[in-house]
Amino acid sequence: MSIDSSDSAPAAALQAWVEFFGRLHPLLLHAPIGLLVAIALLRAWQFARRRRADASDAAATSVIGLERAIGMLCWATAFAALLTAGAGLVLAREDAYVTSTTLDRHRLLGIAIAVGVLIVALTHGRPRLQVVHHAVLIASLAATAFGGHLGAELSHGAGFLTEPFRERVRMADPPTALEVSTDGPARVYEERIAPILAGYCIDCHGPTKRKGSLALHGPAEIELGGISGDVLSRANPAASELLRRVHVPIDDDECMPPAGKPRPNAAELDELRRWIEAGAPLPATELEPIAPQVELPVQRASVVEPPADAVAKLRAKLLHVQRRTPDSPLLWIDAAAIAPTLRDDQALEWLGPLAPHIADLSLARSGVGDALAPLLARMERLERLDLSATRIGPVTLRALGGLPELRELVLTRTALVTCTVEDFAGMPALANLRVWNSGLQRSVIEALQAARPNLRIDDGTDLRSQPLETEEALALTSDAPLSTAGAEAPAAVPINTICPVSGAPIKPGFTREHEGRLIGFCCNQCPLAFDADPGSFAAKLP
Amino acid sequence: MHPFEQHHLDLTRRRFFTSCASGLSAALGSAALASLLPKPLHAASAAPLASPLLNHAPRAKRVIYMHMEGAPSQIDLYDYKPQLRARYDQDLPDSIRMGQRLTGMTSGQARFPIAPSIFKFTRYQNNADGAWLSELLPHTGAMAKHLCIVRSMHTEAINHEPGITFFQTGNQQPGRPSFGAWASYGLGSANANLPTFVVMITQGIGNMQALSARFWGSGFLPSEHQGCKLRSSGDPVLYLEDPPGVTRADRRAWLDLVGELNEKEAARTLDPELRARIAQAEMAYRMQASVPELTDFSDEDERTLELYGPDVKKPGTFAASCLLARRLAERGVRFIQLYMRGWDQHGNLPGELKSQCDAVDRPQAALLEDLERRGLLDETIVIWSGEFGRTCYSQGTLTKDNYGRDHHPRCFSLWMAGGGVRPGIVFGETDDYSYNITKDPVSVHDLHATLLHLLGFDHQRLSYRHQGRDFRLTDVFGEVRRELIA
Repeated sequence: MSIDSSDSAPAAALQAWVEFFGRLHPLLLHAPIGLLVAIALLRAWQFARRRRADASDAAATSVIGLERAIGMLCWATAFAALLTAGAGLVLAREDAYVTSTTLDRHRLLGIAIAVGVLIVALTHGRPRLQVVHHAVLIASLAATAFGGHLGAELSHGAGFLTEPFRERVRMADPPTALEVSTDGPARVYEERIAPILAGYCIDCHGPTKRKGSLALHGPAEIELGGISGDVLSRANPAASELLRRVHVPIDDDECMPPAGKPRPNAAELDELRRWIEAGAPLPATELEPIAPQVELPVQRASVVEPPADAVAKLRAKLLHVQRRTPDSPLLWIDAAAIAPTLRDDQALEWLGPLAPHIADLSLARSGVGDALAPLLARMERLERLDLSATRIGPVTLRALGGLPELRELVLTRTALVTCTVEDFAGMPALANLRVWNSGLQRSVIEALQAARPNLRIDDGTDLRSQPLETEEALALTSDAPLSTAGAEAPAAVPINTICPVSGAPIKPGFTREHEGRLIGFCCNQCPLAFDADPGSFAAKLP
Repeated sequence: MHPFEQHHLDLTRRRFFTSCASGLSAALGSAALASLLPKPLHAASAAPLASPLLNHAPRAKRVIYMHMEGAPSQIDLYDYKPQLRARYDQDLPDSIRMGQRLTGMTSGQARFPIAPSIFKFTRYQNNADGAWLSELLPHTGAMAKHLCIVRSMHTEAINHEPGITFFQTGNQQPGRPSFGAWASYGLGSANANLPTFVVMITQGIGNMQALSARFWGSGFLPSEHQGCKLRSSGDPVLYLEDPPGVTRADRRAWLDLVGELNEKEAARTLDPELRARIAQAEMAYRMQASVPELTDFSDEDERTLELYGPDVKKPGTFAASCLLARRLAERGVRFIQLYMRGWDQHGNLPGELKSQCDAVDRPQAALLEDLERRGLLDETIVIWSGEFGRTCYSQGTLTKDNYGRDHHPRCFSLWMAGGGVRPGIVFGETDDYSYNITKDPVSVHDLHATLLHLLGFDHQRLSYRHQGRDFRLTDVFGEVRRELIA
């Protein structure tokens, strides 16, 4: 997943082809479905004919022919299913997909179908395995139906199939007035805007899929924007990306919703425009609007004990939870034990109740991505965050901008190729940034360092010490005078026998030179006290 | 809950009389019972968020401890003594030796001829005025700005077995818990799917001494805190796969049943070993899933593998162990101990030392670099040490290109890095002969106290009651050396 900056050209080309293959999934998947249905129909027809039980030669010949055709179809299905599954696996790795149960099940079913039809093909024409052949064929058909349904939910949104039975709210007339100031922003957003976004946007920009890293299913998500930046412009509402995208001509690449998808009607578009021009008021999101380099007042969440049940739940899921210090209500949470299987939806559910208590969080090596951004933005006490080898992108970085205490951020082994300096705005306390193998452009690192000279940016270079000098050729001689002067344990004897700090007898080895005299001490601590204020001990020296 | 209270809760009146009834007098019965129960159960099971054993905010979350078994020669590696080059074959002055006891291997020698190091030293930039390291350790030298090199270590033992025992347990006599076991007991696990304390051993090139499993034992601490040794050849853990015909569900059912029986037996006998047994069986079950992922290097990129050197793909080499150590650290294992054998160069030191250094130099430097760039070094203490040092005089025949060195406890060098250790300094001084310490001596107890401090413990308070006495890793000694802390 990580993109290497130094030899990126061939790697990027390969990456592009791999992604292209992945995107063939929605096309390829129709082949195995059609073929599988064809096999099932032929088998059903064959079954019906056999019951009529006339075993004439002509019929036998046609049975043999039919059997051959079915065999060919079986192999064609197996091939198509393997291709489809392969493409699907590649597609699922794209950042747009939020790791979730639906995705996991769809993936599992896809693999199962591919294996199933392979078995169907392998068992074809083997009379002893006929039962297996038929059973697996039926199972594959059932799996295809359910797996296909899950796939539709992924691409068209949850509840796609039953949507016609639900009431679709379409606005008939433009409302007379938009009472933004008096009625509170929450009402306007919740009653009028959210349904429009839910109706036309969140299938692709929502909880299951975040195309362009953008999600529009909640105020926090809207505030975070997507890969092209903020969707709402506070400074110039009329120029908001959201508004622009719905108004560009339908044949434009940037048009949203894209051609072929249902579009908001004029009334709804008008509603959106009025809302945005009124400053796009959103219910309080706990998220400061992102502004570059703002000096945020340090606002501390009230220091209370974390909820015990939420802690117990995390522990039951094998996440490590520990107090940061023995008496602190703040937590260190580490997902190391289950990182390879941790998904966005799990992380959101499990960490949500503890967000204000987390000071140190490691989700390294897990499958989480930008879906966590709103959650991370709520972690006001976060000091250290390790997102190494995750799928996060610029949206997550922007969500971190408002965290007042974030000191250390680990972004190693990520794919932040598209990130810019602006994505690192905010984060007022950031002192340590680790970006080794993050794909971050060198120019971005340099600009960031220039903008924040005190920030320590570790990109994995400059870790080594330089040799300063090396000995000349060695000559072993016995020339040194045999006298042991200067060689013995400390050449000079301390001037005192009693430690000036503690009053105890001095011990060898603990000494300091002070004003040309060697002073002895009783332990390793006393010289430190002496160094702090030598003058005050002068009277205790002989 | 304090272990002692747990113990008392476990004692019931019925149990008391049952044991009395079995032919013993009441007094004897309770005494016998008491002696049956010297090992209370693990204390860290109380309130949901209790981490009762930490005393202050930790600087480090884990330790990677590289023990160089056999005692590397400080004078050929870290303790730069250019003055000795003009004292080749001179006798060690009595004023330096000061009657020091010697091992039987050199005490009979007629004379103690000075053997200067024949290796060139290089000064590397650090955060002070540079660190002199031997030409045998070029990669380690390049990490000098991360290293805290202590040249003034001293120990009590002059032989390997007591020397390592002292270093690992704070006592020369066997029987106490090892440092890793104390860390496991105090810190608890941060990854329930892997052991808290893992040990790996690399076979050396030179003269090797025995390594006993008790160097990573748990002594009187509950047995689950003992080090789990990964094998150096073949599968790192044996029998990871279930036998043919046994499914994961079968294994689970079997474990549940055996666990239930063990639990009954534990309730009857109060034998804490049974609870440890249950815990370890659970751990083994989880390791069946977690270890294959841990030891599979296929997700490491080529340049990382290259950093550790060509040996990294050979299981059991120091390079492979170092990479595995990093993977364990990444996965939250608290105490990772690497043993490198074969540093006991009584003879043929130059050749053998070079081979040993060739095996460890690049991997250990790679480990530091890899940890640092992944953001792990700040919270991981890395320590590299032998059990004592080696003499400045030659054991056996001294020539200009060959010599041997005997054991030397009065001074030796080690280095630490990361985890709140002060980086880029050289601490302590020895005399011109690298024989006695002249400035800032550091004892093994001081080292233990300092490391425990970095992990969040007051070394005087991390204790365990055993046979009527509270035991500590530092016994009744040790001072936290703040000069070594960043």
